[in-house]
Amino acid sequence: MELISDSSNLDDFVIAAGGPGVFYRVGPFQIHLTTPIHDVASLVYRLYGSYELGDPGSVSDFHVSILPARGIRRYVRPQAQFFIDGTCPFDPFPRDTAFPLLEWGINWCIGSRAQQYLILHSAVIEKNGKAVVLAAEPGSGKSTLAAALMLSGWRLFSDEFGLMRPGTCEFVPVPRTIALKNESIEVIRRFSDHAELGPKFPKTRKGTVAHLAASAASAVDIAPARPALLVFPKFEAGAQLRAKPLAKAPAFMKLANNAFNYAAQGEAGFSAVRDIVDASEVLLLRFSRLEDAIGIISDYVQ
Amino acid sequence: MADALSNLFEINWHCPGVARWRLAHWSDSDETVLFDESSGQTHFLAPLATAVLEVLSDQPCSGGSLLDALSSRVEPAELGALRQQLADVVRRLEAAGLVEQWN
Repeated sequence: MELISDSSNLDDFVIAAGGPGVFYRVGPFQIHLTTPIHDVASLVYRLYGSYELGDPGSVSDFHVSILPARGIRRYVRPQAQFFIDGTCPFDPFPRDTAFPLLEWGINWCIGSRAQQYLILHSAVIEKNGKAVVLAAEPGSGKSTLAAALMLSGWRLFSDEFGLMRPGTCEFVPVPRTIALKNESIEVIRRFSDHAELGPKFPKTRKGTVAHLAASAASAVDIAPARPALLVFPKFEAGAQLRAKPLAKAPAFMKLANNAFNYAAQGEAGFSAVRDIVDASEVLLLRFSRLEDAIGIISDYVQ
Repeated sequence: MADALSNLFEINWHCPGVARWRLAHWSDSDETVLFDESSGQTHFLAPLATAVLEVLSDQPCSGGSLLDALSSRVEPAELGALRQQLADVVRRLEAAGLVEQWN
């Protein structure tokens, strides 16, 4: 397996990105990226350096580009645009947030195009062959908790998508950078000296964002894992730790509502969610300290 | 109101789509999740609704017979409340297309 950082130096990578493009693998997907924007390519090299290089001769799942926006505006307020297969599904972003645009754009590609999977809006992490699903709304602290678990030795599957191919009862890893927001950035920086964080991007639509690289083990280990624990986490500043079991029938409904494409999957979606709930213990978890939450979750995968 | 309730208990009810239902039920509660293939809808069934569909899935029966079948599960003092709750549940199941009137 050839990794991005082994295959070329930064300068060659940036030149390739601005020309024929660069190919890299993220879980089951191959991404073909072209961008002439140096900062974007160099940050991909830095944060995805430990990912497997893609094969230009095989089919890429997503052909994406980050290009400078054209027009007179570029002289006043430079912008960048995200393209997928030559189409531009979003409004331009300010040029200095081109990397967050790339990451959000690839999220959009997965969420809208990977319909062969049941797609949960959840983080998934793994230890001892057991996948733990953290299913929650934005702002619940699931990405921060997933980051802390990864920095504690767990394998990151995703902080954003739980991908399960119906009929398998196995989650598929799609480990990408974790987009930490606002206070979470310093929380994670304090949590671990090993946190490989990219630069802060202030004034994005979600506030200040910084991207945490997936651990090297997470980046290249694409083995799937069966679910063992389903957690509905909720961060509350200053709250006492509270872990409360949830009956499986209401857990089913919460998880189905959490999925991006449950209804579109029809009976396959029903069976997939049922399989996850069947295989998992279910917890409502309220926490304010990451260490407490990690302790509770770890107890379930011993 | 009393007349409406009486009428409901005189009506025969059945579950015409039962063959196209997929059920998920776990031992940790009396609730059930039902996926209806014909509509593509997923329904969360509270314990009483679960019990109603159990009875009607076996065979069609009147609302009165349904009440008799479920009465053994509650204390005598709760029968009045059960009657009202049962009427509400049957109407909701009818609105969801899971039970129908049958003659």
